[in-house]
Amino acid sequence: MIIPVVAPIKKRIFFGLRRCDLAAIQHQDIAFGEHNDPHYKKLRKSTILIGYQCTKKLHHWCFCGSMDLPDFYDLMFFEQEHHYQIDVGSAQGETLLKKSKLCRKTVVRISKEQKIVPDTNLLQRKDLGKHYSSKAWDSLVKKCISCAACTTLCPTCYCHEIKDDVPVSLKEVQRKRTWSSCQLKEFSGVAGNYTFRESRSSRFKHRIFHQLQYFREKHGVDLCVGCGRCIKHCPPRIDFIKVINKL
Amino acid sequence: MAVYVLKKGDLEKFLLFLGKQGELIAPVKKDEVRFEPLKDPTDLYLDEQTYIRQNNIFFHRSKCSSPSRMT
Repeated sequence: MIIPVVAPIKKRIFFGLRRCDLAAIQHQDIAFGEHNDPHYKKLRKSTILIGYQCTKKLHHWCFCGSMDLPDFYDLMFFEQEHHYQIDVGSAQGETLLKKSKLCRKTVVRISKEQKIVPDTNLLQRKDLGKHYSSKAWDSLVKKCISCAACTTLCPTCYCHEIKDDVPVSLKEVQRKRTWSSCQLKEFSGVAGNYTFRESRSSRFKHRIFHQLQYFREKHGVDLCVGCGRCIKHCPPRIDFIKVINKL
Repeated sequence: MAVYVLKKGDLEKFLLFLGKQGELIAPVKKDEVRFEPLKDPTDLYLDEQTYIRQNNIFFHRSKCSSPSRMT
């Protein structure tokens, strides 16, 4: 007998999501929506997204300004000197504002400039397909220790594994999903003791190319949202932006 | 779409209101900045980027062991 997971679904409201985090959720929607994941779908459907626009870079490696991030929110807060301007992104968001009775409507619009974080246009966008075999990657690969911190902290990485926990009694088998990482050697391992991405170089390049090339080829948008966590928290601080810009 | 205005002094009231509409999840600073259920509006922390990615919250979590197959 198969017992489906019945998750307690309660309404959840996220507050304080940055534009990069919001775009990451949109990209997760694409990834998990593609296979109509029922668990993800239920949780997303019961979630309201309220963003908070950055007025300055949160850290040195933010490059969201290069990524053409969309407006993807129910509500978005823009901080002003004495008040917040709140851009409505959905009917659900506006209903919430009206119900609070704390906000008033204004004729002032949010300008394009307000949606861009200064000094974050760091990455030169280019067709990486032509540069897969470039020697320029070598300096980065040498530093990489395959710790998978980049993929663990990335808000867009969605690679996971499905495992069956089978007890000796065979009475109750549990199917579990766990996060995984393309930076781990076994991630691309298959039966027959064959690994598709045996070398560190191929794993490293796979992450960069999935983020900035393959996902766009398939879905029309880069997977990467330019949050810069993968650089900021990388132990050897591998800054791939400099290398891509030089290609 | 429309644009609304909220006075800065009313943000805490607004967060309390949100907390009554559902589970409110927002950046909180503990050891690091992370998205967590916001019990007290004064715990809201917007000065830094969250360390832990928010997409974990879209999946059910139970016990989580550390990766056992690192290379």
